[in-house]
Amino acid sequence: MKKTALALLLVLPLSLAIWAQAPRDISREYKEACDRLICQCGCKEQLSVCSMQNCSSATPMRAEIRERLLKGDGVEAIVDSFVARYGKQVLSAPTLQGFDLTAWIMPFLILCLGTVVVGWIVVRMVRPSRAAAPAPTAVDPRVERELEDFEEES
Amino acid sequence: MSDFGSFCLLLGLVLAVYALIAALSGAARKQHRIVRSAEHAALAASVVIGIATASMIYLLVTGDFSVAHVANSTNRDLPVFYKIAALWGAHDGSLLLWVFVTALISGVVIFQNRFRYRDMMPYVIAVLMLNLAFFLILNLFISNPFNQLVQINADGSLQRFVPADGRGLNPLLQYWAMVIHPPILYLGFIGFVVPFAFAIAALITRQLGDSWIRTTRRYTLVTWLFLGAGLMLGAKWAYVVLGWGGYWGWDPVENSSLMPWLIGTAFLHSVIIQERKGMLKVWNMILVLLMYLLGVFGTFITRSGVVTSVHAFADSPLGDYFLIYMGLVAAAGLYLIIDRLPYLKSERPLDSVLSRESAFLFNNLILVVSCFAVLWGTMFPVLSEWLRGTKITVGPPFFNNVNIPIGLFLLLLTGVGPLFAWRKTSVESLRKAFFWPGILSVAGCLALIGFGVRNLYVVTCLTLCVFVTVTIVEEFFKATRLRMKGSGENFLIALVNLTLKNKRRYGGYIVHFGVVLIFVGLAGNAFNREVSQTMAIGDQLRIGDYTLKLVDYRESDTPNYISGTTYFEAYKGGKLLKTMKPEKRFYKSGEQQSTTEVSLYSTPKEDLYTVYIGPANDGRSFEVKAHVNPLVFWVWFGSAVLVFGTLVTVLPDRRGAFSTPRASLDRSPAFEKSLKLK
Repeated sequence: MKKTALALLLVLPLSLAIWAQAPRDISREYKEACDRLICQCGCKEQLSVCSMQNCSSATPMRAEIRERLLKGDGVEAIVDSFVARYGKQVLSAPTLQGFDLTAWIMPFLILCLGTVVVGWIVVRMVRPSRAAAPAPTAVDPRVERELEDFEEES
Repeated sequence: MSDFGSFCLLLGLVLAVYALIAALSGAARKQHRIVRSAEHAALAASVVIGIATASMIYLLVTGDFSVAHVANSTNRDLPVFYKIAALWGAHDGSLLLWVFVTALISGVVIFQNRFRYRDMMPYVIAVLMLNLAFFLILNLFISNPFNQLVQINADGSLQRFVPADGRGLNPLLQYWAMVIHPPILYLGFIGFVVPFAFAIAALITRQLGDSWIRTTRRYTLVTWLFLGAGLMLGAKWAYVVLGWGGYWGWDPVENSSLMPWLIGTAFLHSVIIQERKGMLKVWNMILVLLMYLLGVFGTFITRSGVVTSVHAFADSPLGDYFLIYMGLVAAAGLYLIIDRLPYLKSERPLDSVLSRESAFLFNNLILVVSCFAVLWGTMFPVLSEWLRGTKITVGPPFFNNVNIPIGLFLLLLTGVGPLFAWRKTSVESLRKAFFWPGILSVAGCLALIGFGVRNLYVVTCLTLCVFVTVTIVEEFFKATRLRMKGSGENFLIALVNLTLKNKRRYGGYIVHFGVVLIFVGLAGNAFNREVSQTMAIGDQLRIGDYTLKLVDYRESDTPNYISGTTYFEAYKGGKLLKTMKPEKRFYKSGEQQSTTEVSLYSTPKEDLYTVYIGPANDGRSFEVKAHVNPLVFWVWFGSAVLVFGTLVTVLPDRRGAFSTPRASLDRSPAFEKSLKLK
């Protein structure tokens, strides 16, 4: 038992060291970084999209990303270093800070406001009919369908 | 010939302005003869603009390089097919195409309605001619495609100049879909002027009943069809020609085509409510105004240079004119809507919150918000630079993250809408209606998870696709069985007759099914894979289940371009599927641009997509890229289903597609007014 534990103690760090030496699968992170950055050659495409051969911007940027990922750098650190070099225009999407945040918030804000307004309109449009007339009964779907067909054809 | 072309455009402008003045004058004086004269002038304007366009095509085909547009967009060795397409190869020629399509649509509408809507037509003509005159002025005085090349001599004098050859057509445009894509897209953009013209005419004459909206709906549907088909052809072009493996890049010009399509979709739904219930009249007016403005905005984006795009004409000076025109149109339209508010009141209230009418309202909300999100993302870089002086990029990650949830909500409503009855739905009937779609979509969801699909968006999207499909199938199935009982027809005959008898409703369901299939295709994006590799002859590349073996490389020389083609044998499970031939072309004319011609092996499950990027630096290897793109087939198939469904919807009925019930034709303005103001 002791021998086994000792063997494990020896083998475990060794295997961890070997695992640490093995090349990482960086394809997912590489794709993510290339999607988040814009080629600076003027094509305005993401690095993952710019298809110009030997592009003066995309080719060295991709090489740098690959190299740094293999060294163990994270996607965030790599992206930050490109932002420091080129400014925010190197990013393919607005950041989640300051004025840029409004880009993300506004569509959902409009959606929420719109939902409230439409909900209010629906309720408001329903109320007078309830007050003015007896509540309508549910219509048999079959009758409804035939009525629709009749209206369409007429 | 170039002077003749310019003369035709000038004559067209004179006729359009005359038609505009005569139509308004005829309406004011109630003189039918003057209105007739306006109609004839408008038709004549269409004819002379057609002749101007034909003369430009003649100049392009015969290679008259003294004309700047011909010299800038063609060369001697360009095939005739592409010489004709060079009409829209630069912005002045594309503006001529825009003017031609505008004149054509205006002429067709005026001719079709020469015996209808006698009170409204003068104003319809006036709006159509105002729109035509605006674009004609730009085409004649700012961007004239018939301008001739001149050179400045040493003494400062000008001399005509004829180059030996032209600069050639942008190689990216030398693809079959690009030959038909712009005209179809233009039909889509420009067609929205028709509902706008009828809306303005209805507002001015206060004839805000059903008749104008019925006609408008049909024209909108045809326009919407063209715009949708144009969008899909553009996507196909991007997929096959640009070589980056995708078909939609959220480019500003793509976005500017999508926006009027989304608003058009909203209008086609909300107009049903107006026809059935006399509701949403103000809302529909706003949608019509938005559709038209977004159509003009599309060409503003392309021609103003405010945003960078692969599609944009960077050297165009037209931006300010468009801004002024759009501002004036928006102000005039809104003024008329506000002024006529008493005539735009709803005729009936809603019967219940739980009704199809409510579902349509929420559908409209989602479509408009989706349009806003696209507009916001497209213009945010401009806003950021304007307000803060900071240049930023708003690219696909933004649009995908914002629009995917909104799109999924819209997909849900596509399925839920038909489950609600008109007027009121009881909870019990809803429970029944949701039963099978609910059960089967939950089963589909569990099956997806069982198969190892973990992406939340993909699982949600495909589950909703199942849900919507079941609701559509149920709608067809129940109604067909009902018809079989009544008529004794067999299932297939009953199904066909049911669809033909109520084309609008069942054509609409077919369109919805097309949308479902497109969403299935979009869901596949989450599983895209790609591999880049430098390969020598005999090398292999593995991607997914496929093995690509580079077996040959050949070069060829045509009058137009030099090309290098790599030959790959594509294997799956050891079985040879296809020899794929991705190609790289180097065009000889102009700036000697290069293009990629991808090679595809497409199945309903996935596309194997290969790109030859170019020769490697070592001089004996080749840089290649391979993609496996799951489910892309369904995007194209779904688009075809969508087009088919729309065609079913616009099939002419017994009275003729554009006919209007006699009763609505005969209503006088006073009668309409008395009806609405009671």
